[in-house]
Amino acid sequence: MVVISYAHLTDEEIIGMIVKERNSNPFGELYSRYVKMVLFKCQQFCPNAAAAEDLTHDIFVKLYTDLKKFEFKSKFSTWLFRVVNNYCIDHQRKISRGPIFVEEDENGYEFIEEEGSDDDLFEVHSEALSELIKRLKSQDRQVLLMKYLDGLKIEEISELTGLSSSAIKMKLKRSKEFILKEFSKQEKALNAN
Amino acid sequence: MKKNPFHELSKSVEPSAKLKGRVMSSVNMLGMVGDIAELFTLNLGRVVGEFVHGEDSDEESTEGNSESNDKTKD
Repeated sequence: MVVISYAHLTDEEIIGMIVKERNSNPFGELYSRYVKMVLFKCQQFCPNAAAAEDLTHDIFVKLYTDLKKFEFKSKFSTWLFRVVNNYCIDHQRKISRGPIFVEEDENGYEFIEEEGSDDDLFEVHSEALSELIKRLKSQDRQVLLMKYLDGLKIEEISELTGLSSSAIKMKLKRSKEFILKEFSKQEKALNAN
Repeated sequence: MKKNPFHELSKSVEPSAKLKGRVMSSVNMLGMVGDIAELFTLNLGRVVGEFVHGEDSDEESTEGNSESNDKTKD
């Protein structure tokens, strides 16, 4: 049996083969490239491991049927992030039977400055970051990941979540402050030892 | 520019070995259903086409045959 490798092809070339040639075999390559990212996102919405895998399965099946809608205007990964976020939010909404992103009644929304440099946040080691984001409130964590993992703009996050730009900036600011404060504490404790 | 640590987060995630099989099996099934649906539509279109235009096309084909027969005679 001859096994064909698609590893040398770009995402866009693979999608072309799947859609134009109606060949589902190269889909396995797309799966291998993005499964960890999709599963990680699903785990943020479903803490149960089996449910997160079921959600990942459903997203890949939806992705296969929706590939013909991809217009090659953006990078495939950007489009995929939107599909994944939309699917997870819809899924969560069905389970909770209500909005999952809620604007909290906080003062000072309008005084939040434009985004500054993220250099200090990028100093945090990924192991520490992984633990710290688990301690964030669920919706704050989702917004933070949409911004820094998926690379979405504030307006795009606003469109996905239904939150105002100010509310998103507030959540990002609060999450960043929490992570930096806790990371600094950990560093000090390590240095003291 | 500093490396974004958020991009490292998903690297430690390990999907189960069964997941790929489940996904590919569902995807292949969808592809097969799509092919069957297309084949059905094509056949249905052909049958409906024959039913609606059946007499006309019969006449056309008969005419065509007679012309070609004439040419053969020449």
